Amino acid sequence: MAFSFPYQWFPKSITSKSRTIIKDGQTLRPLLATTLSKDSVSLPFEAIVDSGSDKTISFEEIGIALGTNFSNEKFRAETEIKTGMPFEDEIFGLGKEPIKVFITLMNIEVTGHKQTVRMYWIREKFDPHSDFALVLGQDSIFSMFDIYFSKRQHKFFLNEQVFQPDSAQK
Amino acid sequence: MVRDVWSKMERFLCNNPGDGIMPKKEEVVRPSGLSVLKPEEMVEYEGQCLGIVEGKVKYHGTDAAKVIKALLAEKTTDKVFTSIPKSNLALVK
Repeated sequence: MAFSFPYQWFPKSITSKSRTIIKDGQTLRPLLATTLSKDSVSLPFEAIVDSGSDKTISFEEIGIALGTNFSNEKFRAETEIKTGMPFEDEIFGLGKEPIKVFITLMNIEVTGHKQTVRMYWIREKFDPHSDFALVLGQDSIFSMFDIYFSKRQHKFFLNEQVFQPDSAQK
Repeated sequence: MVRDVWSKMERFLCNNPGDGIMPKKEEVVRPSGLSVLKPEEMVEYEGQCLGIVEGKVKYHGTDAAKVIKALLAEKTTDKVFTSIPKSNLALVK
């Protein structure tokens, strides 16, 4: 089965003579409802599907709000064993400065498909002006579905079946 | 006062993703949580976290933890946490 998701339009506004005018900035982004869950806590988040990101990323304060205790020594030790990675690490974006993160396991669910993924929690303040609460990268959603982006049609597709371009031309 | 300068085509494209093409039989269409907002509301809530419950904005603010806490207290499953970053971001972190 294929699931299609309309791109979400983000309008741009300008203020002129104390009036707000909405303009079409042509900003369309692929957003996907993704449920994060751990133990008995679960909540759907609107995530951005980012094929340019190697990792699935959120923010420390969001992890704390979902009940994760990043300071608990026992939890840190157990998580390192489960992930096979250091609990504290650094990742790099397009800037030159490394970004400090915690790495834990998190359960995600998209259109009924569940998977446990490594979540990279950025140890900086979440800023809703410039950040998305959840970024789905290559290590999660792209392993669960074949994803096809059609900006022209203003939507993207998640395909449960393996997409084969040769068969599509027959 | 908010003045809407959408052209007819822009409004049609936004309200009819896929240029009005009907989904195939096996295709399930799932709009985003933010799709319940009008353009004026998207502008109004830009830079904020939103808690959308049963199709309406019930919580909003710049404190993500507060909005998440309120959403977790909601018994309904028809809820989602989202945010509205600026429309002129070149890259996602």
